[in-house]
Amino acid sequence: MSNNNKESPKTCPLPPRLEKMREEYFTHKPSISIHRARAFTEVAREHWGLNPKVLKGKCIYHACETAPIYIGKHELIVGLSGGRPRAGIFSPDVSWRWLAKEIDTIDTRKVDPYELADIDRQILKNEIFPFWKGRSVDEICYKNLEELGLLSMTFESGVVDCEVKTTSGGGDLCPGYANILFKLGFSGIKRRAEERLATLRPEIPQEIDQIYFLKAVVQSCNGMMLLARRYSDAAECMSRNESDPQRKKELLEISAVLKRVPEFPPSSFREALQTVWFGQAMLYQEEITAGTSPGRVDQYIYPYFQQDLASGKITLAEAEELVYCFLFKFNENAWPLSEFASKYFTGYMPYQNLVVGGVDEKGKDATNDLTYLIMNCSKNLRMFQPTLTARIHQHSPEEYWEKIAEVISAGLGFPNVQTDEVAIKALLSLGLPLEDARNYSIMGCTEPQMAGKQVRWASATYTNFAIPFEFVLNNGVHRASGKQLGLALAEHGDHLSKLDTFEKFESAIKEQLKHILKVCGVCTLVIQKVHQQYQPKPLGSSLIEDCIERGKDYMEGGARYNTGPGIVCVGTAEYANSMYAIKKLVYDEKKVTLQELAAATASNFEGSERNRDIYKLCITASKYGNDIPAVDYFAKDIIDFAYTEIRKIPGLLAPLELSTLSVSSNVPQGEVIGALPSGRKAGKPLSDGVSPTQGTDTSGITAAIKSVDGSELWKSTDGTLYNVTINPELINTPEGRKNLVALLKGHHQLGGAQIQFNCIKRETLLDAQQHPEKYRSLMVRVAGYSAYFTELTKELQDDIISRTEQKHFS
Amino acid sequence: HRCQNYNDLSNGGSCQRCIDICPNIALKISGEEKSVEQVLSVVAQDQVFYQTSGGGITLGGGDPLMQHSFAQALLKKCRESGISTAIETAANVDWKIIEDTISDLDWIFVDLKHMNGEQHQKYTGVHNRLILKNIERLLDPNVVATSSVSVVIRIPLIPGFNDCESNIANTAKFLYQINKNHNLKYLELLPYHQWGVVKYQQLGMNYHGPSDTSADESADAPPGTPPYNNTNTAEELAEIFKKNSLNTIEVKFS
Repeated sequence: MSNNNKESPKTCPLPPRLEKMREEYFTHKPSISIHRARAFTEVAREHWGLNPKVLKGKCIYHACETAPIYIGKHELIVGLSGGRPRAGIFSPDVSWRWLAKEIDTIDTRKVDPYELADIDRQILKNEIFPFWKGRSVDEICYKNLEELGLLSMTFESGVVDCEVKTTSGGGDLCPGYANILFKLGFSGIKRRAEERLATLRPEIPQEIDQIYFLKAVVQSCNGMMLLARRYSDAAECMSRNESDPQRKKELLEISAVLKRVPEFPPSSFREALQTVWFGQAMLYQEEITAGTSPGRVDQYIYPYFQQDLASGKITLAEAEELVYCFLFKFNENAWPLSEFASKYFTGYMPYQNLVVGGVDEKGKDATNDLTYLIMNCSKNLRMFQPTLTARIHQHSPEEYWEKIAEVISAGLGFPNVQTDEVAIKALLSLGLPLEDARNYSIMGCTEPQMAGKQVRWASATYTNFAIPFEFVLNNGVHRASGKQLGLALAEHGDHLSKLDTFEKFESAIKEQLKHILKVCGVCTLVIQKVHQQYQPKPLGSSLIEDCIERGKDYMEGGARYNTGPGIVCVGTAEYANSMYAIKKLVYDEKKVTLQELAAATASNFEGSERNRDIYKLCITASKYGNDIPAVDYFAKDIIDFAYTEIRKIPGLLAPLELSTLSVSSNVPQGEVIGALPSGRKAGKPLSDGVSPTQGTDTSGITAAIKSVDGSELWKSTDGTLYNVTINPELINTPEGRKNLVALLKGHHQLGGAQIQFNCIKRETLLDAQQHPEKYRSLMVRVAGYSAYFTELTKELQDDIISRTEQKHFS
Repeated sequence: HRCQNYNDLSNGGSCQRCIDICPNIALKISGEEKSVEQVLSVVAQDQVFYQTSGGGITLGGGDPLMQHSFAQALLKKCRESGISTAIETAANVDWKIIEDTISDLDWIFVDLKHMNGEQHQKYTGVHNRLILKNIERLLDPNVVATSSVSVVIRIPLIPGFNDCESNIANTAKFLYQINKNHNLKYLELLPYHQWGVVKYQQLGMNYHGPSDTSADESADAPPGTPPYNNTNTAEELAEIFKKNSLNTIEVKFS
């Protein structure tokens, strides 16, 4: 049934200031900023040998002292780590080899190119790279992994990928803006550290390390306060030369705000927003990272919003403009990576996740006026960051559900819709108390995390549920590399003849997976220890309870709650489909022998009539995502199994966690895996997250949702990912949005953990591939985030296009 | 592709061997044989979504009333399971069939393709006599009093066939006359679409409906094909309808 007018959700015009900012934004090309690299190199050269924590503190201070200042022509909320919009800072102390390798190609490479000034190229080559040779986290990790014989499984074959934390910083933080920075300001944090320092004695072995750490915290706070003052001074200076009286006034306001925050706790709505933004931008001075997420902004900034409106200090229109300016800034952060690592995290995405809605600490619905204001601004702004997460629960108000549907139907790829009941259960299972679990934020893509108290690397390793099939069928030999990476089932002869029952086959698969997960565990430990020893994080630690009280960096367990890291396992659907095909074709119906299947997958289902027949049998077997319990069982089963096994693996500070969110890793992970019994051909992308395999969920969206929600996804405590590509025509009418609400509520009732919608027409995407110039601002949901479609690789574009476009609701 | 063993009716008219041997998985059989219980179990899979949306099952066509005993049995079962029920029909069947069906229906969507009996006969192959009578009965106060069905009339707009002012005005007048008790929920104007083109191609048949590229195809169209000239927009037709039904009937269109 249709309505009389094809009313699409109204996108309100932006305030003129934002229109201008948005227009200019698209002229900024992503680039690399080397100021931090220079500052760190200067200090490290002078002080090398100093305790790494103290050295880091000095480096951060010097980076703040020398950081270029940028105040855009129209902006009200200011601050950028690299001194230019979309400039990512470079951290040679973490990793420099990738940039040395790509020094002449980084601006022309296929995936996420970055501009790099020629003068900076020279400085890098002559001063920076030579100093860090042998000293970077990346090299030290590599050496230690090599020593333990882990290179063939990791860097050489790609079966286990561990680049994210060897070539990038720790990150994955939800900083304690609300519980620490808003209460103390950096001056208060510094005071607290100094008070602790006054009680410590360097002659006590347990205390000398704490002294080093707290000194670094003090230096970091000094750096942040200095940098804020430099911004304040710059704004004042600019105001003197400003001829436009309106802008002159604005610059003086900017100056006044930064004179106060983040040195002191904010006292107004604007100061609160500026405080959070300053953190988001300047935590990068510590190291290049991703995922730094502001969390529940609609909750902890609400008191300031309410107070300023009530007192008449600001009008609603002014508040709205400030929210726009605040959200806008998230688009100017960048996270430069090597070309290879960029395949895992395509789209210049800095993974900043802002959460709205959900329950409060007492379990009551917490939506408020600021919730809706942020959702509206986010919808109207039409930019890719911050990723918006909407928390839902049993008592979410009707108006809120409708607003979620409205934002989804705007086609931005967000909000990510997160179920409170499931996330809270996940955090309780990790040992968080109920009040904190209820107050969770979302870090990065979909990872539930308690801001300012919990530290968890979302991932140190990436692997998949598909490779065990290759290992079992090929006697443990990885096809792409030809190496014996899996367990050998037999020394000689036919290793498959032993697997004469399905139960034996299934347990062989699981043994291979356990073997791979064990490798992930060791790699995680190696990398964590390297960061702990060589790359302390005093600035990040200053915003996490109880690091200062314990005198410990968060890499040493200073945080109140230490969990993870996660092991990211992609290809849930690939596992379920392969397992079901084998059970049906080999063991139940006996249409194919295991040996034939091994031969067919080895030759990518090509080369003989029989292989092509087997391909047909495999591809036409029922698939996950169609509400078929016999297939879906295997998805649930592998989540249960992986959860149980991973929780047994110790990390440095806590047991590891399961993550089933793929980011865009399903593409590179697929590149190193041969054909699978699911019918997936060699080298093709694996299924993403817990989503059905691209193009196989042909029974409609409700069936797909039931398949996905059938697994106990709270066990994926470190986040999960279900992507639905939906045709916007379905939901751009009031009736359509009503159906979407019903769909979301059904998903919620089924116990679904998370869902997000890529609301794009296939034709649009195909046209965008042909005419990228027409679609510069076209956004799509890649995996855990939205990106500009035309900035993605052809392969990833194809992958997105191939995902089933759900044409009907039923 | 056409089946060479078309006479083997044991598999619903084809031997299905071609499906198994096609190297490119290009062939498929549309439709399966299922019992009421089997269909119901598929329908019931989406139970949770019926609850959250207030939605349910709609039997479409063909025309479900051509297989009325199966349809009635299924609708009854759905009702018993608390699933909302609807059918789409041309209503060109004995009133008794409709009467026995609506007791288990929440919604009935009836197509009314043309008011002129001869035109109706010419283009659909049947006269509209029975259809008009059935619509009248559906809106009869006595019928309404004994069932809970909501009635919607739909005009599938076919350019050059029924989208002229007179047909819409006549339809409006007719419905106005028989809707004195305001039991008609609304009238819906359905725009013409070309989703059938692919189906024609799959069946190896020529498509003679109006299409974007129909200019040269219409040359070999069989006799009796309408001219397919758009005469009025849906907005205009809605206005015409409203005027002639004296604004007593809500009109929807997309």
